[in-house]
Amino acid sequence: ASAQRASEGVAYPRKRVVRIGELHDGVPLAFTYPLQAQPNFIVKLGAPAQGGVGPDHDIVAFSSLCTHMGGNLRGRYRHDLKAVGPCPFHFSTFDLTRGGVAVHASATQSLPQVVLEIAGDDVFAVRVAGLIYGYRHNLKDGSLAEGAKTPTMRG
Amino acid sequence: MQRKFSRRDLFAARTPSIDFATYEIPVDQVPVPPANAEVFPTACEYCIVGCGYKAYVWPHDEEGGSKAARNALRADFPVAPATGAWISPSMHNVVKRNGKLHHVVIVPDGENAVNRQGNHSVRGGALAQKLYNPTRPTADRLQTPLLRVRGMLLPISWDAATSIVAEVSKHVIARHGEASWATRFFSYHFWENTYAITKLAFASVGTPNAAEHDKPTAENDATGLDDCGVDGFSAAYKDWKEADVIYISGNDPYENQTILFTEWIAPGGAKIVFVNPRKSPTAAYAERTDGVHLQLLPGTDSILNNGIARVILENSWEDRAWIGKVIAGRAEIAQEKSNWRRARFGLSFDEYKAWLIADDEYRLDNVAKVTGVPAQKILRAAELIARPRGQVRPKASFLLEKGNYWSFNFPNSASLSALGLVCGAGGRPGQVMSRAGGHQRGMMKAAGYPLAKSNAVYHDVKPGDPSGGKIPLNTDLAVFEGKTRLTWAIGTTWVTALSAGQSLRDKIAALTRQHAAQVSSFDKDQAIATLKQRVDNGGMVLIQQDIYQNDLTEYADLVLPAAGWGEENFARAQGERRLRIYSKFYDAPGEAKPDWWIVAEVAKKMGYSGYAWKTSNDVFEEAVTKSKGGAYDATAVVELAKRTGKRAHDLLTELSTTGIQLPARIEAGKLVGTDRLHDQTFPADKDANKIVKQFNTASGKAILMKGDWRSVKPVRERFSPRDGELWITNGRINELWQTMYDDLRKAAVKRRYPSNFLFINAADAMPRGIESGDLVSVENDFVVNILGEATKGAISLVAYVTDEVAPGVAYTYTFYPGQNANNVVPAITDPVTGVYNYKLGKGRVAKIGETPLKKLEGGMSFVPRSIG
Repeated sequence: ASAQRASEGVAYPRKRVVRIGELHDGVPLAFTYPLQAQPNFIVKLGAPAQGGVGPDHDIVAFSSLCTHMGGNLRGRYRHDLKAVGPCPFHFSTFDLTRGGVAVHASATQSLPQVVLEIAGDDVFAVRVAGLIYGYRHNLKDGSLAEGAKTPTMRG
Repeated sequence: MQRKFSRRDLFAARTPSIDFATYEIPVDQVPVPPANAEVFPTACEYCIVGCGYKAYVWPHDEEGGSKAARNALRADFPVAPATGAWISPSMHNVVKRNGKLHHVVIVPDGENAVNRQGNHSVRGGALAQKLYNPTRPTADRLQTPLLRVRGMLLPISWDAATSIVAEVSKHVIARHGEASWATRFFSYHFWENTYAITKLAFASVGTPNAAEHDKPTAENDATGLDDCGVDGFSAAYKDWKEADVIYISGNDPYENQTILFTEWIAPGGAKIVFVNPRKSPTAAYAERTDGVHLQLLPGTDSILNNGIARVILENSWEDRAWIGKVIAGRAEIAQEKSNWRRARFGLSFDEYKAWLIADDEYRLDNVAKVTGVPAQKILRAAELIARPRGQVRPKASFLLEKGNYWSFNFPNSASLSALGLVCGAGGRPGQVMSRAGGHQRGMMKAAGYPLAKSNAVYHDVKPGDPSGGKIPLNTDLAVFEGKTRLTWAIGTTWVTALSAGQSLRDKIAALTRQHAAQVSSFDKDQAIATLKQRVDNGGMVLIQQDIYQNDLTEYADLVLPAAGWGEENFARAQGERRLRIYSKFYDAPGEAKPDWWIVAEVAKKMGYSGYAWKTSNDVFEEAVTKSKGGAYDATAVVELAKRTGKRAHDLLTELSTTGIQLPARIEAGKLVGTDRLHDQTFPADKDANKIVKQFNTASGKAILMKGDWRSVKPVRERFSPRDGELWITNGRINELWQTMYDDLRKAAVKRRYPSNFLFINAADAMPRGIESGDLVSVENDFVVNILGEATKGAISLVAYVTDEVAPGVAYTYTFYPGQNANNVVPAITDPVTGVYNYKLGKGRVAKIGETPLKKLEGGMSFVPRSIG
């Protein structure tokens, strides 16, 4: 997985997030990645999305922290719009079909998208596109999330 | 349960699995400033709110650590939510400082008085993206003076450029008179620059052919508010927090003054009466929080304001005690010897009441019919802003902006101001009237506009009207009439900013690029001779001064590169008159120079004295002398600096991101600011400018101005949509700033809005076969230009189907380069003030294709915006 590197050559770990069969349309599930203190959610949108995996290209995962001031977006998924928001702090809203672009925001950055891969029946997190709120580096200043393994540890 | 990795998993992991919408590769780290990084106070470049920021600058090969002691932010990483200490990738860039490569991060300053806790807007949070960096989209900054030689803009020296401007200017003034020498200039980009420009235009040249960037005339903005005696920026931000209810007319504070909304309006819990044709994000907020959205039809503000006032008067909900104390009567109005509008349209309270009650136009049922707002909502609005709860009146405040005063300038702003006054607003804590504002207050005039030289007069002027009913001349009309021989456009796109834009372009092209006299040599004398020939043969010379090329550049003869924000020390005030330093912290690109320097070089070559400034501080200290006695009186700042042996800019730097609210005064050796103007609670025994204690009128009392719907009703009718046309109104949007001079170079903004859009209701879209992402045309065959000729105008836009707009009323961004809303806006001027009614565009809408944005990978989101 040489392509999956953060800057400075630090490799992202790989983590099994969920079995495809455990995902139901419009029901987000929480997980941490790549560090233990970094909350994300995975959701089957029921409509194709950029970066969507699975047979319908509709499984996506994003950071749960608003990129404006770190508001927690948990519980703010809007299945009718395939969007998350408004953020409880300052109303930022993100389109999950279009790479987490801010629909309307104080946020200047898209919501970081967790890059997913399917292997067999499992969905894996392999990378994060975008800097997670609060961090200077997605892989620094914390310990790896439970179940996250660096590629070098494999085989 | 976790499986073990197999070789197959590793193989699968090599498959690229994400397609990004744009060419932007997401960044997943930012550098942290080391503890010894240089720190510069500044304020945001963009909106009126003027949030405080700090620029941290340090050599490119150093970096701070994650512990507070090891970085200049004094923050532990990861930083907690809502602390504002996080550096998003948008806040970082690489620049040159003193010729050497440096990192810079521009972070909201949590310690200032505006955006406390480090809150920021989508605009300010990306300030670093505007900085010049030749490896980034800002690479095309203007770097050297350019002269159009044989049709191409080619580099020349500053000496040649300023000589050409000076020589042609002298010739134009001598041969054709000072009124043929014109300037269109920004009113926002710092006191030092606007002072130099107005010194040349008004004090040295003495031309009446000048206008600020957003208007054809040198008229004020919210004229009805000014005339009632309330300064456009009279309120303190804390007043919005203290209000019980806020009547917001023609403005969306979440979109356009974000921090005013998220830090000062929403936290105070005021109910919102939201008057706007668009169900914008703040409209959604108003309805959700027990306020009301009055979704009026474009241009019907004055009948709505007056209709609400009539309901209040019929129910005796007006603030009688207040009215008796502060509202001018006939005797006070008669003191207005220098303001013909006050003499003509000023009313005593009894006259105001009698007028509204007597005119059936303002009956509730008619108001509902004309505005399209249900009568129940109009009644609810009147109750919210004026109905006493027992013995207690609601504290009502009033906020207005361009949606109000740019769709019939005078009657809309006058009717709103009168409504506010009878509800008890104006100069009391939580009971204020103010503009929300667009850009910050960067105007410091060296001399007044020479109104006596204007040839424009109110159409119905009467003998005995003070100042003869004169209004500033229309600079666009002067161009069409062939009177203007030279225009110096400074920080404005002109053709995209003003109404009937395509007709204006045609005229300017004919006078410049299509004229027979074209420069064909770098020889300075030849160039000057050719341009003199141009102006003597009916043509016009166009000099553009800016930071980028833009829609105006194709007509320019000379292009002069300006140094801007972060590239020179500047000062200006924001929406509660807070004066701050905007520090220079990096090197301007190439040979770009601050506007004041360019103006001074030309002025000296024209033979004028008084331009021997060495530094921007020199200009600032001179400019401040003109502020005395006004709303922006900063003389105390210079005075205190002198007493303590400092330069005024250095004292401002010490005041950092909080600055000082003007007017300022010195008490016990310290600077003291002013919360609000016309402050009825200001201690009577305390010494302060008159404007601090009284309304800004001859008598010191406020004047009810007659903003009469009947004066504009036939005009609106004439320019209303017909035969299947829609209103094509326009305005700002949260993410986009002005002409997008920076936004075009910000990846995140271009990703969100890769095209200008047309918000269109499904009821209008479906019959036309339009879906979100389709390419649509808007055509208007009745774009009356300033000569009164019916011209045609057209734009194409991407459709965004949304209930944010009502059926019959579509909306687009005003200033998207190449897709200008003003193409379909007629140059109808307000009859009283001569200001254009920019919001009253219309046109036929048709699908002409699909855009790539319609596809998933196109990247543009069409999710509704008003769910907040």
